[in-house]
Amino acid sequence: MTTSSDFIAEAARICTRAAAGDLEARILHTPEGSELAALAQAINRLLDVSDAYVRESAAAMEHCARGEYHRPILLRGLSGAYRHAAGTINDAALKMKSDAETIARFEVERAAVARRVAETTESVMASAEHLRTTTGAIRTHVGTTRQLATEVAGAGDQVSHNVQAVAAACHQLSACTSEITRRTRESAELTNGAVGEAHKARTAVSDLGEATRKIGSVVDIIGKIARQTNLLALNATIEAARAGEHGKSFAVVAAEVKNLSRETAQATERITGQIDAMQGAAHNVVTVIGGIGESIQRMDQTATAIATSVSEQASATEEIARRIADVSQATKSISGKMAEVAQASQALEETAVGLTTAADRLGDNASALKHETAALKSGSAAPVAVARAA
Amino acid sequence: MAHPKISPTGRERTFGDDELIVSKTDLRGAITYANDVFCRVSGYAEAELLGQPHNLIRHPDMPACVFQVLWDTLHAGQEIFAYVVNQARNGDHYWVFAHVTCSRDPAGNVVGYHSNRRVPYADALPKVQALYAELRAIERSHPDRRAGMQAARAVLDERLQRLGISYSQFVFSLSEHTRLGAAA
Repeated sequence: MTTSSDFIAEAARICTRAAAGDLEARILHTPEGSELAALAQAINRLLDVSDAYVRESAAAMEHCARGEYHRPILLRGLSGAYRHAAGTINDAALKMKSDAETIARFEVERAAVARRVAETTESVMASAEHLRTTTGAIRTHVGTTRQLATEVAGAGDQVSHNVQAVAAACHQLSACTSEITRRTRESAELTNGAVGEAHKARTAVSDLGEATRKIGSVVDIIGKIARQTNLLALNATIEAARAGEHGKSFAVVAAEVKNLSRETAQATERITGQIDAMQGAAHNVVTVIGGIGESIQRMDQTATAIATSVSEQASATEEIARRIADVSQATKSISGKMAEVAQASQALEETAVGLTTAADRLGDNASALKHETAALKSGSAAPVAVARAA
Repeated sequence: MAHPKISPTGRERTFGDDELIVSKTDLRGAITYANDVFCRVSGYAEAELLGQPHNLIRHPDMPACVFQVLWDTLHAGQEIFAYVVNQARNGDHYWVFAHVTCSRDPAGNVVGYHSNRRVPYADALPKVQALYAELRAIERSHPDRRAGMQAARAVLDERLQRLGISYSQFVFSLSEHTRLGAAA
């Protein structure tokens, strides 16, 4: 740089370049100790501080744009408006740092919330699936229960019907038993009558034997009389013979008497024979009547045993009838309850259907929520980008 | 380009809190601009600096691996901050908090590099000096310069990895004053 006009022209070019934004421009090779040198230094210092400010502020903002906040504009070496402007930018950077930290904190919280929501959603989905499965199982079981209840109610009706038939049969049986008891009682009365009659018959036969024995005594007397009559006739004959002719007619009478006594003796012998036969017959009759009496006794015993059995049977039948009545009552109750069970099952089945629908909807909602949460989880860059842009 | 070896004097130079040491280089690292503060603090005239490699002012206490990180970062198109001790023309040293960025043309192409250097934050320096001493010791323990640099770099990277932060975050964490909300 040889002349002052050359220098001034060079300084003007440098300043023009700088004004156009070329902060590389500097005045070089200035002569020392001259006024021009002071001017050159002053221009260069102006350019240096402008250059420093531009580089510093740009670099500081570049760091902020990258989310790095450790690099402020260094105020040392800057003065006045440069220093003030740098301070303002640093304050803004500080605010950006604080905002970024807040956003980062929110981001962490949001991520945690998103994670928890995702976990909960997964859990809800699993629960919904489980609920759906369980509800399906309930529906199956309830359907089976309702069917079984209906079948049981039907079976109960059948049982009730059968029990009624049994009760009717028991009633009939009871009636029959009463008839048997009545007949048995009649039979016992008849038997007792027969026993009395047999006893009377035996007494009568004994009386007959006694009468016969008395007849025998009378016959013996008659026979004795006949024998004495015969002796008297014999004696009369002898006497008649002694009397001769005058005794002849008496002899005839005596012979007649003798014939009568002989016939009488013969008759009494036959009677005695008859009486013996009668007594034998009466004895036989007594024996037979005794046998009859024993038979009747055994019949009576049998009839009594039958009556006892029939009585027991009647008690048993009554017990059966009572039990059957209980069974009938219980069966009716069961049938009623089963009808209620069937009804309740139906209601439960309808509820289970509703529950399945709810579980489906819950699962769908959880899936939708999972989708939304996935977006929430992956959407972390958005707020930060916005913050940076701000 | 070979330079005459300068021996450190152990004397420290300083500059004003409101001042910026500014320099620009081309893509190869040759100085294309040095402001008046640079010239004053380094003790070089503008004419002595222009066209020279920027490591002209490198101090022997600086670990090579830190400059490796610096160039790796710049080549990735990113800015970098680093505490650096530089050596003045006479062997004095001065600590700076350097901010190095790419310079781009209107099309966005990197056309060179730009460095603003501030007075370093005092509360960071003891930590930085301790770390650099450790890294430098590792580098010096290796006969091969490149192997030493790699070993020190590995230690640095391992430490950052253990802390779970980037190099940039690490540098800003060294001072209370370079945290957002407390920038000075």
